Amino acid sequence: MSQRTVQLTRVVAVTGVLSVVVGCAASSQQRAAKAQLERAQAAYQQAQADPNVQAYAQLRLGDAQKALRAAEQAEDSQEKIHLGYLAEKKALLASVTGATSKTEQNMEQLRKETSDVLLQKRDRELKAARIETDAKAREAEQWRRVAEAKARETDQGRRQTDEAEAKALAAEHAKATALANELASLKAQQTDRGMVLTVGDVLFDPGKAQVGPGAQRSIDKLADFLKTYPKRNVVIEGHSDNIGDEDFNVKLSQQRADAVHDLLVARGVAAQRIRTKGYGPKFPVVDNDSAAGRQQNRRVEVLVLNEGLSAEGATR
Amino acid sequence: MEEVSVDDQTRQFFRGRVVCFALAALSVAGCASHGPLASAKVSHAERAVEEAQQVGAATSAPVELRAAQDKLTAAQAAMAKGNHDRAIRDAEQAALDGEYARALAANQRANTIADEMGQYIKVLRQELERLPK
Repeated sequence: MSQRTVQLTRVVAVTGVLSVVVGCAASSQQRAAKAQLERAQAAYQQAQADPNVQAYAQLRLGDAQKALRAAEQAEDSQEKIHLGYLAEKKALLASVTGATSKTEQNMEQLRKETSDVLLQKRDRELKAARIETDAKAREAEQWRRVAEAKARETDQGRRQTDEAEAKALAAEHAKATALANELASLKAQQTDRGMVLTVGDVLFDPGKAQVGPGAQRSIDKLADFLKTYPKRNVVIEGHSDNIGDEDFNVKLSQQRADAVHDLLVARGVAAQRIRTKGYGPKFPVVDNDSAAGRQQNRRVEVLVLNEGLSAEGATR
Repeated sequence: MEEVSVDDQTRQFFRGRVVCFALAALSVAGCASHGPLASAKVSHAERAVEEAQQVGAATSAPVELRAAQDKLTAAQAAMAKGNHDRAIRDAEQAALDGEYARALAANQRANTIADEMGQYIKVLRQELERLPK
């Protein structure tokens, strides 16, 4: 009996201990499951309240919700803990995914902003470059204006020169006119060698080389003319009638030319500008038949050469 | 009495056989349904951990990656022991831990890039201000 009782007591004790151990184990598991479920619920609520999750991680949130439902409905504590863990992680994953998507969205915005700023920067750089270019252009323009002004000055100078030249030309023209007038008064004739003028009609007495007093005025005019136009040389040609020996007449005509030469030199005309030549009766201007004709042929012709022609070689 | 006992023995014999057969069938069924599933889950977890490592979770989410690796190891061990239920649970947790570590790494990376972009824009704006409008 006592043996049995001891055995029974043992059995009861063992059973009791076992039941306590099992009970403890069960309640701690349940607590753990409850705690895990609470963590999952908290994580889910946080994710659900997150606008980024709502905007970018709806699918993940749905996943988490399903996992949470499964965890809540699980009977077994171990299964509850497991599913609770999965639900918690899924909720956290939703939150992180939402945050990342938000950041990526921001990055997109930043990228746009960057390209905007870069564009603005390039615009301003271009503008700055344009301003610099403009400044350079302005500088160049200034230089151009200076150059233009200088050119204008030079132009003016040239115009002044031109004016001076024109004046000179006009003066020369006037001179030429005066010359022509003077030569006209000397009864000059324009030939291709220059002006030919016959000094006096009745200059010389027969057989004489002396210039008569009536020709002195003509000689004066000629001398003035030659002094006014120092570049014009003259050839003085002496002519005679056909009375008498030809050699004599040539010499006579030469003497007549020389006489005019001497008169001109005496009036200040440089001797080297004058060349003389006696032709005798070789070039009569009229017939020697009459006394009047012969008178006309006894003459001296002064050839005023065109400017630049030398008296040498200008003879006939 | 003899007959009855014989009859009882026979019945017991058959009952035992049925129970054995049922148990065998159950265990086979268990193997058939949970084995490939556990294997797939473990493979999935392996991939998840690998991907997390590839995006640099070792530095940006070391605690989460470590958890994933530990659970993956446990899942592989349970798999090797034929404890498929345990393998499935550990593999599921390991896969999610790996995914979470990967997400954390991606998040940190995005934040870093965004910060850099913000800095860049700040510098750009300063340069912009220095230029004539």
